[in-house]
Amino acid sequence: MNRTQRTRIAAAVALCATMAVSACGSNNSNGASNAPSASQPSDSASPSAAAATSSSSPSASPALEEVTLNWYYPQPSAQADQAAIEEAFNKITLEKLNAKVNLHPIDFGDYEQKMNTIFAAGASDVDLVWTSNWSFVYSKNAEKGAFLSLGGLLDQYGKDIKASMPDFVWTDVTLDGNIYAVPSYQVAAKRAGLVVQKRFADKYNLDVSSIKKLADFEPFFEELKKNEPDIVPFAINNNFMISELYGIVQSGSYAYYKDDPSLKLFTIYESPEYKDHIELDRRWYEKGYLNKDAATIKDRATLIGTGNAAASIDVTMKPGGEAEAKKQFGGNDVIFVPLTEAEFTGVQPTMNAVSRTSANPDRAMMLLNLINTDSELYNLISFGIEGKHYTKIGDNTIRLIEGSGYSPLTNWVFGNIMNGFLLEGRPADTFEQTKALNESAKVRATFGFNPLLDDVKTEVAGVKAVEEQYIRMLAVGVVAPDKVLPEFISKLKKAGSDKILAEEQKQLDEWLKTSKK
Amino acid sequence: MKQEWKLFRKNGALFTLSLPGILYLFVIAYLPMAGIIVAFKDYRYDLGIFGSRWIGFKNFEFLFVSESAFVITRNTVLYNLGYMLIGTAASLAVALLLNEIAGRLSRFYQTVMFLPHFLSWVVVGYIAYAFLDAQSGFANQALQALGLPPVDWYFDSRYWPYILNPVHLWKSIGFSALVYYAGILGIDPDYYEAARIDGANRLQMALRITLPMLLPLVSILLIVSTGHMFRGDFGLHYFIPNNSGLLYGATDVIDTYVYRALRVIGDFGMSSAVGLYQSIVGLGLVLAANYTVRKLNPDNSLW
Repeated sequence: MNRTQRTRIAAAVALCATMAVSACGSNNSNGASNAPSASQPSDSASPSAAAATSSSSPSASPALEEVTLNWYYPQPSAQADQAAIEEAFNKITLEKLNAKVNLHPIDFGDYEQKMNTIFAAGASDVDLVWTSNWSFVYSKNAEKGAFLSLGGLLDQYGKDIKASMPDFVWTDVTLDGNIYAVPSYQVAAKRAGLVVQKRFADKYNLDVSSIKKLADFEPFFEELKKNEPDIVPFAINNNFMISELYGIVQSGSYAYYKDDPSLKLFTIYESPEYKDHIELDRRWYEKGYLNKDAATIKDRATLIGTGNAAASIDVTMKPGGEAEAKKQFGGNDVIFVPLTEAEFTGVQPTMNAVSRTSANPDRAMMLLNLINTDSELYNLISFGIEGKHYTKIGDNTIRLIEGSGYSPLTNWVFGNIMNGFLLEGRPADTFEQTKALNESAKVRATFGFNPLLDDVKTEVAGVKAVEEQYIRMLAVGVVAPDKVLPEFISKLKKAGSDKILAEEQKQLDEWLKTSKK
Repeated sequence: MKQEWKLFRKNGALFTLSLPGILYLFVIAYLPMAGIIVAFKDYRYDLGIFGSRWIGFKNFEFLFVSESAFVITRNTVLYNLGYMLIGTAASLAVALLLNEIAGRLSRFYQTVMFLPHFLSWVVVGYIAYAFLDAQSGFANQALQALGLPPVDWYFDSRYWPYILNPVHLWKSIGFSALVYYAGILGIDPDYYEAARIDGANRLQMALRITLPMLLPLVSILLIVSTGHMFRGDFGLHYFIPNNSGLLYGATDVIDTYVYRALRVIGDFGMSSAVGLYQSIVGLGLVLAANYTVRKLNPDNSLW
């Protein structure tokens, strides 16, 4: 909420105000002019679109008039060759869909804020927008009316995507009976655990099979601390409680015990298990297992990237993920030490939605269909241009060219990852493993339950502010739990955590009644 | 009406000059005023500003029921008072000194002091980090060189009032000193000539002529800055303390608290409510300050 942002919001509001006034007058005519143009091409478009994707015959496209689509999505950092990628991307989309696509990548850190502002300002030029359950949140924005319901569009122009993903994918993105986004199919299950550098695991004989919980790492860290003075045994920068290890299922602000059939919710920070965990954090901090600056660094990637961190946490552990983790660990080989069973997490972590304001929703859906089925287009935006940004080293495996101008490494943003290449070092059966994992993962009892907390938003804001103040410093061990934890809990209660919990419990009980039928 | 028209005719050129500024203010500050209504609504994209549900003062609640309400208000007001007083005193002193050293050197000093004004708080935050980092920061290395124990700057809130004030001064002094310096240059040289003939020395001229002549400017700038009394400087209070939870007692201001509370929920109604609250209190303070100044000396007041 800094000043520029507030001015921006103010400007946005001004725009809204003027637009709302003018929209009152023009809405009707707009709707009228939109309706035919939307239905007109649809008669001719559906066969031609199907033709375009199945046979990709160029003669089919002239039936569609040329349109421009705008696609907003996040990226880790600006890519030097973005313009070249966009040009190549447009060559394909113009040929197959007669659509010019303006790509609008936004850095992850700014994504949520920028999209909020763009939508507050009316989102007039947004056709496609990336959304998720962790940034520019899907359920919240769908509820606020940001997205178009895709039901009909999917049946008409998205048949290929619909068929390409298992049914549970579509169940997962259904809100109040409507589908508002097309998920990018990837691993939909997670296992939490530690990533450990292989050279240290080998040197100090880390017996992976004997490790069941975090505390089992202590002897290993002790050895590291003693013998490797320049190495940080365990690199963190925020809370790393793995609640499943304590038999707790946690989601947002509420938690419950896995084996509790009545699903009684509680605030995790008040549980004895949380206390145990932060006492372990404190012990590790005092013994010097953790990086000293854990409370103030923004991310741990820099530290890990130097190769000077022996281990870190990973909460997804996707199949074949060691190849990427190796890159993150400064090129050192790593092993995954999973501590939990695979749990189904759904497909909400990455999706693309059509904006309610899109002038060409049918074409936007065709683009989604294309990028989820056309490997050429998908690989282009995911990995760049062959020879310039990557080289092929196998049938479907590529090696990235070091220091090239395009390597966002976010293929999961754009579409179904099984539609694309594999990175070097990943086993050839990664996609089969992923599918198998998705289908075998355990589904939690409250899967699909999304409480709406609008009525207690005052309390939610207060609790968030308290959480942001305490969670991190308790998690990284810089304060003594016996003194600070009671203070934290009492502030949570004063901010209204119990009221939120009661609201969630009420909604959960209702949800259970209706979903069990 | 006729009189006003006459006034307008007479100063036509000046009014034309001010036109871009007036237009700017109209578009940026007055047109959006209608949007204030969002602060009282449960805003939804598809219903729009006027269609969304009216919920009265519910959006304001979170700011006042919170435990931190007192701490953040106190910090915001005290820090702003500190910035205002220290900043004014220091930049007046610098402006006087600049006036004493004429020529190229003065321009050099101005440039050097002005430079930080252009740095973003993010950059300043990293500079501060270079000083205050527990292991390799300059501050701790200096302490150790003197044989003193190192300090965990980011974990100890005691030091922060003494860190934030100088940092703010360092970044803002170039600009405000320049304003006063320009004010000094505008003083009629005749006064100084007369004083010199009467045998006044430089110190006397500075204290008896320059300062009193600057007083109206000082008071106007002070009145304007009271309007920002309830607005914390987000960049300063977020980036310089590195958003460390241990320091909130000494560094948290309204704007950083609101950011923390709303970052995840992203509720437009609630953030507009905060903005409106700060603006209204600010307006009240400006009116009060202006009233007080007018009572003391009508010449120095803003209107």
